[in-house]
Amino acid sequence: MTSKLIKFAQKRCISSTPSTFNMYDPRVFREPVSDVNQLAKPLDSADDRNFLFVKAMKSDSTPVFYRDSVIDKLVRVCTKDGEKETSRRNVLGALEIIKRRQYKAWAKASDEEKKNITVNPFEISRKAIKNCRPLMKLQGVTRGGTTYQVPFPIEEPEAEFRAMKMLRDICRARARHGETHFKDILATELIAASQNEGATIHAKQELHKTCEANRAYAHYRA
Amino acid sequence: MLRVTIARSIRAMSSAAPASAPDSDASVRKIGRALETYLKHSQQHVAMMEKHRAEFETGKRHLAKMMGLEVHELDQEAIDRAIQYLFPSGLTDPHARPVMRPPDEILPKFQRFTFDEEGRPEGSRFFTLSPKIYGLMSEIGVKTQSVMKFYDEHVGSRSVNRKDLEPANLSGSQWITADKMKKKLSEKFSPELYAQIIIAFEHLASLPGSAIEQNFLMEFREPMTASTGSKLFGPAIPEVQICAETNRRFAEVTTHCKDTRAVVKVTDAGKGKFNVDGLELHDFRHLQSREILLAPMIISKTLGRFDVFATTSSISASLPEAPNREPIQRSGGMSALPRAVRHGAALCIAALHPEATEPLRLAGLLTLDPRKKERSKVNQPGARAKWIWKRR
Repeated sequence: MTSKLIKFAQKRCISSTPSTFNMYDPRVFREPVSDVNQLAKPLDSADDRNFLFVKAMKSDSTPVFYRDSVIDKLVRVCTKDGEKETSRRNVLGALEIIKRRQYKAWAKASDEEKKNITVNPFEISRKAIKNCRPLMKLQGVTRGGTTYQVPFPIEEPEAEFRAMKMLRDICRARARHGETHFKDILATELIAASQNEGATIHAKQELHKTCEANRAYAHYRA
Repeated sequence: MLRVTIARSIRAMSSAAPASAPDSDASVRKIGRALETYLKHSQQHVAMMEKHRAEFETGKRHLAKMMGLEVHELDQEAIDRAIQYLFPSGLTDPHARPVMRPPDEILPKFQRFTFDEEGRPEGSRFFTLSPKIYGLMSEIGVKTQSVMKFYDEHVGSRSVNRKDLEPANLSGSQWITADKMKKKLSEKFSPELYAQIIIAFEHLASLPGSAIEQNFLMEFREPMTASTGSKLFGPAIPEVQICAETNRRFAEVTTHCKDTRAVVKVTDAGKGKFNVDGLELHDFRHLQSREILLAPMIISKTLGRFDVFATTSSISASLPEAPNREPIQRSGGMSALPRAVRHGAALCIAALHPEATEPLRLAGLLTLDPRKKERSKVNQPGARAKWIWKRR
């Protein structure tokens, strides 16, 4: 009875005031290592992680053998309303479709043609996303009440993100009324993009053209 | 007797200060009164401490009676719990909550000086008003001189250990804060003085050869990861136990993630089976949940060796029942529940298979995830999100 009461009192005392800062104190927490090969090696003696806390592993970075950073990013980009599992099912479904199609093509092909056909869907998607990466982005800059579309150079991770976003928007627009499934369109689009064809590649080229046309606004940067 | 001592001290002090004006009654009385006041304060402090100590003992007896315990059972931990129970406080700052501790721990310490037979203070730093901190500063100065001399004498010679000629190794620690320094020296000083001390320490530590003063430097440093010195954030690695029936080793630990509490028991020499609230691994339909559950085994390379048995509950379910609210019984979802089990399983595996401790720690599996859902604010759609501003 007493212990129950004490427990109750302790509960009452815990403050539920919200914290508005990072729960991981940046002075004592460092990023974890999620690569299995890197974990096998001993840590460098000058590394902070020898004597500081390590942050908890993220939910989506478990080092399973099929972990692929590009695919994970694609899943995150395609997520809508926080339904990541649905998005993952879609993207992995698309990969399966790619594999089936490629295998069919591979099985039909003659020995010489077989060398040129990639069956691994991860490789195909990585190549497709790489092909879709734009070199510049357009950003609105307001000067004197007029908004100009100014081309800006972008870093590699952002280029990758913009490629995925273009791909996603195109697939979503096509799958809007439930005529076809998202994963089917995504698979088609990825295979096409890996061969430098398709709507996404086209959109990228359009973007490059507009950037070229708006070259005169480049001095509005910064 | 006291009067005589004071009179003597006055004479001695005035003769020791040739620059001051010739002996006058006013200055004599002033210094005399200072010493008198010091003695008076000292006696008052002793009396006060005696009183508080007696009060504390009485209070402890009363408290023990109230809580239905024997006095000898009532240690400091029990006192804290009792005070928390008797005076529930929702104040956020721990310093603002009621406490009951021995008076020697919480009351300010009285600074004692030693005097010689003639009533003069021993040590000339008495007149700086903060003798300890100036003493420390001069000690650092002396050590700096000796380190430089040591280095100059021994550089290039083989008579000393080469490690002694390097700067002190201070990695993983930081200088103690001003408050702790004050407590350590039991003396008050200004922030400027603290800054000067730190500059002096930094200079000493940067000198080649300061390794010989390593112990002295470490007295004024503390480990960076909190005060515990442990490298694990959250519960510690549990003890290994042996099941009497099956004679298999097992470890058990309680942990939580968000509002899900999990009691996890991992048994050695198993078949890699999972039992989380009666669910097996394949009952978790989300791929991510299964990945999370398997993470400790993947990192420690022990897939199929340990059996995991876990029961989870919601922390908020233990709140008292209210007439207008059903208690929430549900524990976490597809991410929080497996993460709670993952943390518990990783701790147990670290206990049963100690070689895997370091990889598990570096992968972040032995860390308790301190993040929680942030409450949404009034007049806002979410915790941070704001409504779109509209003119009308």
